[in-house]
Amino acid sequence: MHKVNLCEACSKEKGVQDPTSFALADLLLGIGAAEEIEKGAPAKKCPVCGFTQADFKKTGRLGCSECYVTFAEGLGSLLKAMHKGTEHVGKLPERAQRTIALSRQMRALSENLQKAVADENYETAASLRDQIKKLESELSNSP
Amino acid sequence: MKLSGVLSTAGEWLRGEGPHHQVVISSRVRLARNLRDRAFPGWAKKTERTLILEQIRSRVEALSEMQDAFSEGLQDLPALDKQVLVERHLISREHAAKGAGSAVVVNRRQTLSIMINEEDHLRMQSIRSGLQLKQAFKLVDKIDTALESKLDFAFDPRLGYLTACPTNVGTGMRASAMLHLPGLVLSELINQVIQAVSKIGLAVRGLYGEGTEAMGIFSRFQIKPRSVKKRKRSSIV
Repeated sequence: MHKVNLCEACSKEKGVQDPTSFALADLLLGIGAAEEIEKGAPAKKCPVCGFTQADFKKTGRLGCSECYVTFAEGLGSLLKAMHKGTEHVGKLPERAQRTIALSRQMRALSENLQKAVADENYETAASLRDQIKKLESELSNSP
Repeated sequence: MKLSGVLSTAGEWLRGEGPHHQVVISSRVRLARNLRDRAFPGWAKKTERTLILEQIRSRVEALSEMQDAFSEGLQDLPALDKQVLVERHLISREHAAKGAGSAVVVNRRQTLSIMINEEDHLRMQSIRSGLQLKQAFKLVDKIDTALESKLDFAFDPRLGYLTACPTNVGTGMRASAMLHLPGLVLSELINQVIQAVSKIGLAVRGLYGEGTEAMGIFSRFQIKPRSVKKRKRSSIV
């Protein structure tokens, strides 16, 4: 047996298809993801820290907390595969508790409103709309 | 407290006490936290990392639990001292490789160690002797609550606490117990056990954590709550 150590680029050039040497992005995002990211239209860049998708491919780590918003689209399926659910139900930071409770309530109301409209239940829809308006003003007043 | 103070007394977890101490060497619970809108340590420039360190370190040192603590910047620790801290499980091997812009703060009893600017801005861990996961969780949870009143942690209402690596998102918690299982190794049943526990959401790691070897017959059973989860965090422990 003859052992040769090749880098990723050289191995591709020599036509080596070693399943253990797939790029990290492929592993995390599914086969072909690395190439898609490379080809993809103008690469997204995090407005806070300047991190790009290509950086994620290299490191497997994100740049800052805002990256979770910037790259939300690509991260969605990744997080789904990594975790049991996609909704956090553990500890909440005290200072965020009120805002979080309000926005959760808001989301539930919006869903009910859509359902009421679809069912042509306009009386319920009107009352839901009023509740949403009230919550909106509370949310904008909270820190 | 100086490093000599850490060295002259063995940490609580090294005393071989606590419930089920014949099997369970130690229990550990860690939480990962980051500051909102600040670059994670692996991405931050040196100046930003230093600013973040200063901001966090003063808050950590001011904790009542950290009175007379050992606190040192990684650039001021010689390689041998770092090695001792790794062996005591007070810092990770990754943290030992860091220099300026990172620090470690350890309480007097060596039951609580806080790494600043490891992979995340804050890695807080409590390590106890024997099977004391609940006690370890209680301490680290208390410290987390105390710090979050002073620092603005990165948190998303839907995803939970945000971390540099997406696998840690959610509670940012890992709980693990280091077990001594010579009988299972000698009777060659350990691999079956490892396979079985992986099916119930436990992971088996090496003696010094992810990516390290099980040394002889010591291995660490780690509970990863697959962070974004349906149960209350304390009920997982």
